[in-house]
Amino acid sequence: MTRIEPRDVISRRYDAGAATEPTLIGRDLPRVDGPDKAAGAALYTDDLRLPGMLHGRLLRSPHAHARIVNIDTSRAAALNGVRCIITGRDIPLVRFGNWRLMPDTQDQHALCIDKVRYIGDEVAAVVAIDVDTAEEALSLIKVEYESLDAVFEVLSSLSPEAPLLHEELSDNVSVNRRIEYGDPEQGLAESDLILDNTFTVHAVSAAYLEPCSALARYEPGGRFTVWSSTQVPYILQCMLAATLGVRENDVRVIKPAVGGGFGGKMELRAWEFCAAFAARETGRPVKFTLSREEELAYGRRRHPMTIHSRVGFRKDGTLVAKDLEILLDGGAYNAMGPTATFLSGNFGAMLYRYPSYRYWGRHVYTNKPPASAMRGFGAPQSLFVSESQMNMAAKQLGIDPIEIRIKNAMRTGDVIPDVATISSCGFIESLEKAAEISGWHEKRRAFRDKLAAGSAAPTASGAAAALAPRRLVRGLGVGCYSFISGGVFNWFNTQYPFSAAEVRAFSDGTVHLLTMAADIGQGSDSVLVQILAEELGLDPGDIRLTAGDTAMTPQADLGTWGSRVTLMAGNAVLDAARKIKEDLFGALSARFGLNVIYDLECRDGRVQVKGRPDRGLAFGEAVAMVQKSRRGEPLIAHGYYTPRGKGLVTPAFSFGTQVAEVEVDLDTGQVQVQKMWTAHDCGVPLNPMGVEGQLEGSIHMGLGYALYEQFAMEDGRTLNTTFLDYKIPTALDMPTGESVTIETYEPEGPFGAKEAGEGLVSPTAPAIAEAVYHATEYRCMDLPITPEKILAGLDEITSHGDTTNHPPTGGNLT
Amino acid sequence: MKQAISLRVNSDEHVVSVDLDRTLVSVLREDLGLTGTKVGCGGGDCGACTVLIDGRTVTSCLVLAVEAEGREIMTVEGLARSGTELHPIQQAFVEKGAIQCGFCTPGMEMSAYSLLSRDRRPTEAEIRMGLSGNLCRCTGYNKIVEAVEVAAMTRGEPAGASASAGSLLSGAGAEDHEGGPVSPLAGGGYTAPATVEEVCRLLADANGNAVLIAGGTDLIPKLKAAAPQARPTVIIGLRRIPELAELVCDITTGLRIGAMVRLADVGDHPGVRALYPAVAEAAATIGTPQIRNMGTVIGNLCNAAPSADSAPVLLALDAVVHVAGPTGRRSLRLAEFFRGPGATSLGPAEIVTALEVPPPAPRSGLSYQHMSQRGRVDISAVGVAASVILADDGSCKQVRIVLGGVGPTPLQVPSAETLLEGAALDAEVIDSAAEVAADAARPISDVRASVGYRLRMVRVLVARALAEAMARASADGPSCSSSTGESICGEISADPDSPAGEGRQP
Repeated sequence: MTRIEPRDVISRRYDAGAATEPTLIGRDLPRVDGPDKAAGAALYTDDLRLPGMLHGRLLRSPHAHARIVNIDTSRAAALNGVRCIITGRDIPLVRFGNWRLMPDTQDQHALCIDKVRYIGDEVAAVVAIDVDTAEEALSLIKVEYESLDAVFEVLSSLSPEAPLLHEELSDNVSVNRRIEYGDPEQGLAESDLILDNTFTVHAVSAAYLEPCSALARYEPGGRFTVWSSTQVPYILQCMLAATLGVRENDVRVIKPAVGGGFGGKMELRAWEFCAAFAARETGRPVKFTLSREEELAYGRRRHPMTIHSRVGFRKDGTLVAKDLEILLDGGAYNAMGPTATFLSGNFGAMLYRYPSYRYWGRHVYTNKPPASAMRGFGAPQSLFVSESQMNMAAKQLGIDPIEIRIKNAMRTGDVIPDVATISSCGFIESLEKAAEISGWHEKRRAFRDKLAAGSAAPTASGAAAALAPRRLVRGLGVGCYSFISGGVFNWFNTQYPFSAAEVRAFSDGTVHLLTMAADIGQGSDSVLVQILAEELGLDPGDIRLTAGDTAMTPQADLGTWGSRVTLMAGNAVLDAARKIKEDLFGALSARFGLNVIYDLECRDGRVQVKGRPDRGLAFGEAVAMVQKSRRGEPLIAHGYYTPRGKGLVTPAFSFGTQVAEVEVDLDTGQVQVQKMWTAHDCGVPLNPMGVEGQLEGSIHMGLGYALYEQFAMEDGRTLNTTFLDYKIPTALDMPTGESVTIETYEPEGPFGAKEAGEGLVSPTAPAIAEAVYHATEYRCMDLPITPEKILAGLDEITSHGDTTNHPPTGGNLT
Repeated sequence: MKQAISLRVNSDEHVVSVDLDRTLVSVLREDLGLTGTKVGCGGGDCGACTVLIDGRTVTSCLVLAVEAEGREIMTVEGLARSGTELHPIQQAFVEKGAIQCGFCTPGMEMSAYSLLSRDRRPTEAEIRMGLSGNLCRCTGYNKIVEAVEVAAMTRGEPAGASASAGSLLSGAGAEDHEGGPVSPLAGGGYTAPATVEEVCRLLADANGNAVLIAGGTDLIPKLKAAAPQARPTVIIGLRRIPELAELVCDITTGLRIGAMVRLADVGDHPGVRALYPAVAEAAATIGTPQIRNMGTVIGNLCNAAPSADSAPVLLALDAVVHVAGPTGRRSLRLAEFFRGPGATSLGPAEIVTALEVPPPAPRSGLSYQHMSQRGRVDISAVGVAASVILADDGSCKQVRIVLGGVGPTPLQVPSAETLLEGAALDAEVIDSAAEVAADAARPISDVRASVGYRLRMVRVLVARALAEAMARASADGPSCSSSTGESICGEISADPDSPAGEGRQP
């Protein structure tokens, strides 16, 4: 395979063999749902109201670990206005979980049956005529608990004396995952430098702006309709059917507008089940909407991890081996933890050519709110460590951090045993470009010289500065990422293709696209419309879209996670569009009696002989001809995509590099990120404005992860449950940025596209951590990087010198 | 108990019957079907529920519906000219890719609208500040900022939406003085009396079952947290009392802040910014733009949070608090006002009507320095105010150092002050004073910061505050005849029938 040359964002390259020259690809098209959302008219689940609708609230466990001895609901049931109370005694005893392929991992019931396992575990639900009544009823339910010993940290949870969270297991480890190739021990033995470090990374909230909400309706004939703020309508349909004890097609799930998900809305949750269950019990529509306090105190989080990594290098910086051991703090249930356990190991092997590699990941239960999927799905944690160690090795070997990366970088055609083949890769180019646009070499030298000269100088001027000088220092750091374009491993054990699309063409020149792909804000509806319009030579305004309704849109699509939609659903749309084109070309050929060797095209709203608009028809006329020839039968096509022969991880990997410049106040420990530079390879960016939006959103989330966001926990209780104390960055905190797209052509992706925006959440924290190190010599190995840690680190350096990068604690130069 | 009220929303009058504790956002969404206004947190922290009241942004989850009666409410539904024509701000949001999940969008647009109504050509920094009360989790804000820049360039007045533009720029002050539920409260309810005496009488009659509402930003979260049975039955609004709306800033008489003066009024007031810059800065650090449009300085003090940002500067200025009660009026020093976290020396039926700060002394300077661990919009973990008066020889004649967030109440530090008075303030003596101040601090560890960090920050911030106060004192003293002109010493009162300055307490 040849190396792809770096190209500026403006220049584009397309598949030379494509039948038509694209006209919509690479254009900044506004979102199809933009006007509706701008007007405040888009409907989210909590905006929906049905006649006679009741309101539900959940009763949650005040204990981190306890046995439920008795639940007395009599006083609550007697309260005027209460219509239905549900407890674990009332529901089918069905365990569920998204990993249907491995039923052992399905460890949750819709409501707690006999035990509660974290503070906030769902014990009962009340449905009443209004929210106030439901809440009053909650206070009247008397639950008798027998308190059990609880465990809050992974290491204590691994101890043989630890209380068991799930008694059917012999210990608290719910998932084990190993990857090994090459000979890591021998590799390490032959290394000149071994870094042997333990890092910890923390839990954060997806903090989507729209709290979860579900509305359910039951028709006496036995059909449920559930509107829910979900990113996986089809998975939700299956899980609801399983837990309600009905057939899949008795449940219709509709996904209205969704106010963000980021991984936090990809499982069946108690309120969705309870809304449906109570709708059947009461015969009236039932809605549950969570509060922000519930979301923050009890909601899903990104996995905290304890990561032990040994990496071996030769003196010249060549990587020799890596031995990675990760303990995932899963909280009380598996949720999407098994995927995170698998992927953390896969990401650990990415970016660089590790000749030998070993991974052992364990998903460990603790009595805390379950961790689950969140943007990056194991990558932010695993790559924080990989990238920090690359920076540490560069320092110890006296090699520039960018150079050591280029030396070891993956390239197109590389094969990672057990993981993947890299079909397109602009990683090296991203490193070079990021260095160029950030002024990497000059700034690294200048900041370093300044620090060495002891000129943590007062930068402010004036009388005040003279009396209380500010000591501000600057630093520059780099971090990189690679990410997947959807998952291949079929943990859901779906019996359908991974993605599907139905396209209906009409003689009025419009086309209706039906898809179960779930736009949760990322813009996939717009991208799918763009792909379809491009392939059919239409204007996006000619496309009508129906999405995310299990009764209307084709089975199946596994929803939005792992950055799968553009590639997978996009390919399904292309498949359907090509079938439509075949029929249109047939009609055109018959109409004009065309020679079979002619090349035909859909372009500018016409179906025509390529380059011969005179020998063609308007799109609608061509559709009418097909329809006539079938005696009225409409022109409809179905398209599908399932990745095959692409390994077990993903059909395509994205790559990229980020550089952060920070200013650190040595007296307060406060870090101000001045600027971020990003160079990333997402294949061909279909809609550059959408890609930029994803990139900037990633920086926002990465910045929060690196510096601001964390949960304050005490004995399993979350203390910061408001946006006042759980700090996501505001408009004032966002650094300015500059970005460049390294364009590669991903052969497996629609029009050459692959993942954009999820992987980019990963490089921000290691880049900032390295920049802080560059500025201060304090190396953060336990996220987040707080002012307190920086000050403590500086104190440590003052008294003992820089200990993190020198033997014996940090590295071992053999 | 329900109360019938009339709400004017997007120029339409609606009569609705509401419970006392219903918030405006729930009435908008549930009773009026205006679901464009979203609820992202219910605590005034995310801005998704931002609407305009009398031209100012507020988080409608912190507004009681009964308090919105008689005021001009504008929601996102009032922005677009028609179903087919978006407002230029909305159009810019669509075209610049400023929308992803769309949940924050309506609130963002309302903040942008308010910003552009006040300032047709805001700088990027002003836009970011204007949007700092609206959280977005998808876009990283940059495209939103761009969209607002584009909207600002769009020809045509941004205020030209369907809602009436006339009321958009109304200033601080008592809202409407007529109409509305000024009912006697037989079985409880909301009332907004016209005099302070009436408020005191109602408070006394209610026997502990009544609460006062000024800005509501602290009250409403408390109401929500209380069990329905434990909620007060009487809510007394202060918004119709002219004397409480006064904000007077004068170089000869000093600063007077009435109980209904919003944080934004103080933070934005040219006179306050010129004469008492640190008071304006402290007011401008509290919460978000929406919170500052709602919350009052006196409410911030009466809430008596140890971390209240407005307390240290006002203590350093030796502010006087005016109190009215059933037996008449009294005044006390602010230093005597705070008793502990959430506790003040107010009697059961007493209210604070105003506070007064003496005119700035010649060669005086004041500084407020604050620190939170994370982000720019935050509750201060530590806040330090210092005021310095210099003697003719440049030495320190008088100094006040007040620490916020590091004790049960804001702490004055006499030991550090003694060290400085009479001394020439140089870096060394400032350092020693900072050390002594840190010894006096009694912080706790909480989710915002640890004891150790707070103590360390006391040292850093005391030094910085002293240095800035000293620098300000050394500079030319504030003067009414400075280049900013006469207006800086002006008085504002939105009530034309109540000339500023009248009704002041002896």
